Amino acid sequence: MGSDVPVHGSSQKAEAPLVTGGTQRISRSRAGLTWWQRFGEPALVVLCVIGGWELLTRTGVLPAQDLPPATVIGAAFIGDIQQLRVWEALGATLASWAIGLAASIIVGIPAGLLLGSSRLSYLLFQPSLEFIRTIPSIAALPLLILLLGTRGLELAAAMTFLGAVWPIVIQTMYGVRDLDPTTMDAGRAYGLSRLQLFTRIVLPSALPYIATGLRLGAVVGLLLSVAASLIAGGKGIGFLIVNASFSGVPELVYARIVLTGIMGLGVTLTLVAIESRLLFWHASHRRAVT
Amino acid sequence: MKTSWLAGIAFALLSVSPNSGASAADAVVFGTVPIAGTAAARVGKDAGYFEKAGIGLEIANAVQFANIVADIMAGTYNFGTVSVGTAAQAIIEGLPIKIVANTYHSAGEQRLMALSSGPIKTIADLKGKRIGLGGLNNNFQAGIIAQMKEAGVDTSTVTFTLISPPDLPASLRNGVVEAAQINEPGIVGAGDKFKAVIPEPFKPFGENPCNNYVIVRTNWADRNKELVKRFLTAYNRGAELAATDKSLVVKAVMSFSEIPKETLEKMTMPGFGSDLRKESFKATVQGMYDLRFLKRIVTVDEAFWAP
Repeated sequence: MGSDVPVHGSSQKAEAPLVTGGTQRISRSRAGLTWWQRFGEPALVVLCVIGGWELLTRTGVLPAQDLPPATVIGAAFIGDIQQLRVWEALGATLASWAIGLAASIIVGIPAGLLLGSSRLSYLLFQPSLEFIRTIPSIAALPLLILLLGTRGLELAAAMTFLGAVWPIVIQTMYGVRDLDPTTMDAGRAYGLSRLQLFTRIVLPSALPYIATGLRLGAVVGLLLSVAASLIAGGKGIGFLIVNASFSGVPELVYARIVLTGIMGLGVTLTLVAIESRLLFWHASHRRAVT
Repeated sequence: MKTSWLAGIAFALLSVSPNSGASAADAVVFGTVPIAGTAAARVGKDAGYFEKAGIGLEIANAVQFANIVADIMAGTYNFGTVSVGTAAQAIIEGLPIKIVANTYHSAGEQRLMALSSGPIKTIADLKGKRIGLGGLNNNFQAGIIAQMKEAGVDTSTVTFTLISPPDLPASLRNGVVEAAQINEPGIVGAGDKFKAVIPEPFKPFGENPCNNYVIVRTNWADRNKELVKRFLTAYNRGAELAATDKSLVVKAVMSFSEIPKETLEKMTMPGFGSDLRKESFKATVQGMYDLRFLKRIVTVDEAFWAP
């Protein structure tokens, strides 16, 4: 189950359409960005949104009692991050996310490799897979509450698993299936065994797809981990958002939503950095000398 | 070697389960939602009553009462707090749960309110209006319908809209509904902008009727009678203490809620006590059954635990 959209192509296609020209074009594109373009302009957009929010609430266009000014939310944010329970909740959310993601990697990558390498298993399972992944993972929450309860990390971890496993399976499967047959023929011509073909050609070719699947799955999984505690309770950051809402403190609700966003951004940037390190050899991550 | 690994895993699993083994028998998990009405257990814990009773109490957080029932059935909570309607509904559905204690009773902390500057002045003015409620087909709705009928309002002209409880004050302020269920701290937060149209929604069910009960899974309680009795002794002492000292309730609520202290001190707190108020349970269930919110009557014998 999952609402993700598969990326039918390699990770560079999903992320940067300009790379079709090859390594040289990538480096020019990246090198062409000035510091201002890379950091200044995005920061300016964020500042404009914050300024607009502040203006609309201070002038009464938006009801300040329900949508507090950005500066009030900022003050609540600063105060909140000094509370131990906020960090405990963030830790619980990240722990359940890590457990769920690890489980989805353990299950998803072998399953995707199997489905991608075997025509028979692909034909047998592909329709079911396509059907199941269109069902929103959140629909499983009531059943999982009954099975796992809301107290521990299990529920959020299970939701993370359900959200993350499908992108990983599907991307891995397409990664194997999109393998250039001439490369395999060349491998066979050089007398590589089945295991060598797998480790030296299939797996390296599928890795960019797997990385994309991991990144998509990790983000969907994090969203579902937060949603689980938001809807059901427990120890995660989602419950703290609800608690602030029950307490009638809207600025704290927004401050915690912002904190959740920062956590998500941090997770995404970390995964991108890891991907760049691990796939340094791939065209999408190489920097040519110009 | 393999056997010792398995033994280790088994020990680890047993030590984290609230339902297992003799060594973990005194570890008790109590599921609540983050509202002031659930303060009694925390007051009792702060006073050391559970510790004295040999109970290591963990208070777990849920968002909805229905989830607490699910957790009780899953065995992740030993005790939990639910509304009268949720308890009755669960029993009608055949779930093996029993009521063991009073979580809180009505004391004016929930009201049906309208804008002070608006046209609704009396119950009769609710005819044809949109009313926002935090839950549908529950005791709050049953209570206000009974009072509207008594005031001669044709309740078929009234539209009841389900809105998340924290969003009800904003819905009323912004005209989404013309009257709404407002719970504390929303009543204090509104100041004089809202006025109570029905100040005592649960009045048809008796004087300060019990709104919320502590439940337990029947077979677990029957197997652990002595532990349940010790829990109830500690819990009821906490409830009696909470009934006599508001400052302790404020302190307890501050430990799990974000409500500012000055708001808490102004708030109308729900009532606490060890009295099970079975008569109010009967009246509430009857009132909900009369409106077909419940499929059948749940008797006191069915609902309350008898060790």
